Amino acid sequence: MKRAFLLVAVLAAACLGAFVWRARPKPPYVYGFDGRALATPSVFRRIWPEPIPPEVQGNHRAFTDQALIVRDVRVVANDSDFTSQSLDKWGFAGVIRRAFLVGGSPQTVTEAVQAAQVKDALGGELYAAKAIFNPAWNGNQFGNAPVHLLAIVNRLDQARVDGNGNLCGAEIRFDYQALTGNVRPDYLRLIVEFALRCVKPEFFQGWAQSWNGLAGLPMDPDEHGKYPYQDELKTLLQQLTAQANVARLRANGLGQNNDWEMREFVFGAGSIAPFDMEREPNILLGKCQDANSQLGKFAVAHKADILDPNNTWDYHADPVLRCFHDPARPNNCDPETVGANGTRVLVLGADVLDDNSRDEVRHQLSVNSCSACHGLETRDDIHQIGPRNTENTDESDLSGFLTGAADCARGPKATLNTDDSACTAPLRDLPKPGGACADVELANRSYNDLLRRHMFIYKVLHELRPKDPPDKWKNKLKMYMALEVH
Amino acid sequence: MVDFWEVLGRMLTNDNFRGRLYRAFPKPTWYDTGQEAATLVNWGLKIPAGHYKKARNIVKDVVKDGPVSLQTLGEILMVLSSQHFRDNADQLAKAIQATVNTQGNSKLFYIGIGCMVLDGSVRVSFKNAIFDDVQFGNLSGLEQDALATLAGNTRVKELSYDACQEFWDIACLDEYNYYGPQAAYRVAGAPKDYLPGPHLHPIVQPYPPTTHAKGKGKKA
Repeated sequence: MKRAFLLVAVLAAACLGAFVWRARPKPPYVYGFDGRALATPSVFRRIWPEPIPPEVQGNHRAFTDQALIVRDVRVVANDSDFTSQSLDKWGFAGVIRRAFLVGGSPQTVTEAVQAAQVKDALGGELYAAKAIFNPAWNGNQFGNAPVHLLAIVNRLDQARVDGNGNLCGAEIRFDYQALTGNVRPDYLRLIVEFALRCVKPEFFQGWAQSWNGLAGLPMDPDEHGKYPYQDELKTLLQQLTAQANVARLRANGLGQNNDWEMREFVFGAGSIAPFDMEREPNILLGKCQDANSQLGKFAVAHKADILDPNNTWDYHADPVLRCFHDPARPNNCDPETVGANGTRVLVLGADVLDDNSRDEVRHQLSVNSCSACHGLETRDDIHQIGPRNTENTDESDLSGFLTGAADCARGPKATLNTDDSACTAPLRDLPKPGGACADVELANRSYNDLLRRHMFIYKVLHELRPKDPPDKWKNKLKMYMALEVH
Repeated sequence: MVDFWEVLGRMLTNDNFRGRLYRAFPKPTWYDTGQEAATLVNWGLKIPAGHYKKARNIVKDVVKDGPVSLQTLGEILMVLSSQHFRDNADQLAKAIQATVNTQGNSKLFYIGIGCMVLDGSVRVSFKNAIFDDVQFGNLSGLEQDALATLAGNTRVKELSYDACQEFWDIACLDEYNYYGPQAAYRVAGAPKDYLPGPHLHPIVQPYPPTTHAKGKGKKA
């Protein structure tokens, strides 16, 4: 009798404790990030009950425009340095020249030689360059290239913390739209990427602080006729590109019959050459990636690395995530995107991993590939950054993946979502390959990637100190990292 | 359209069939062009009626299970009028036949070859082994594998580009799914001087029809 009473008392105490725990004061839960995608509040409150800070929400539009994706026409179109043909400024000529220098090309190599190399490289690989872009590019001066700048993109969030506590892999990107395509108005995109070297946390924080500082500066001239924002941005770009140890050129062009071709080039010592498409699995989307497939085996063997945002495993050694450009290689491929009419994403078979981790692994492998991120996986229609007009009056629109627009539609800055709205890619009902993939569940994923990138920088600046141990850096940032698989 | 894809696909996989067509029209010459009526802006080729008959007699020996439209015969006669197209077709046929087995396949297989030569979006779907979504799901597994292999062949892709461009030019930008979001996006992002949409449906008389515009049931 006494034992029964004690048992009832313990149970009652447990119930009371549970009630008090559930009724405790809680912050207003909002969506939280899980890799690139957003987790729903119901899931997230159990694992990471943290709201988006008010200073992030309140400042998100300005921060995005001035510190994440700079596309205001006062900068990209109407600032004489960003449209300059000089090799020392920030127009296409100056950016490409810097990229060659990062690749190891001597200063003595002339612009004419380098421009010819760029033309040959692009024209040799992409129909859009061979047929439209190169013929419209008079002479061998970079300044004559028919392009205009769409955006300067801060990708500090690409960084990961290595074993020594250094932050590696941040990038600065310059996005260009090729012009003169009257029949095909947006026929070729060029992205010049500067991958920054590994740096100690104090340096990285300094970079983050510099970007953060830009968000508060005016783009219009001050009383002295100076442009505070533009001047500071150029200083920062000078500092950052000087820290690059790799420069790449990514190109995406319309094929002759309405297909999309993708290519990657690397600037080397005196050359620019096509390179393998990394993170682009050479698979057939319509085929099930089951346990016997290359990718299925890879997913099982490297599950932990794939799900670790700070992984430093060298995937380059494995051909599975690399679309080799060399025709002599077995994984040689000619990467083309299915485009917005596509209806398929990568699917792993039910015999690959368990139900709890399969879709997370699948998502990371998929969303990190060029073709899926610029496609159905994020509900995008090829470009994350839209074209802009040639009158230089309007800035580029951004994809719903970036802005978090509830309908995922491309839109201007007014569509930037700072609350719990998100663009949701409806993967659940997509047609799936047969076999082991027939009954696999694909989770719908929601995105507000600019908010994630903003949060990444906020965490670097507000919740970390340079002397914090590497594990603290890893843990604080892991929810907001790009979770790149490479 | 679908019957033209089939005839083109069979031309590229059957040297005898292609040779018979070449021999039936041995000297490629350009046809005169004209308008069916002065009020219309569209132009057409003045192809003699005998050419259609001769072409049909050859085509019906390979397309045995149904009709072939006059439109398809006209397209075939048009492409045969170009020596460049013939040379390109020979090279494309060689590349295709060297890559996969092209004999004894289903009607849909030959339709698929003709379609992917003219439409890059279908070719990329095949390359990704996506068949159901473009209504080629009834191909056998072997046929699907063959088309996926062909679609991923760089030489086939380049020659297909040339084949489409010679006679269809801007229409090569049309897509199997004409008004997908990608096409709409291209137009939305276009500069002000961008003229056409991604696809205009061809018409043979002023639109809306005068009989309907002027009064119901009255003939013009």
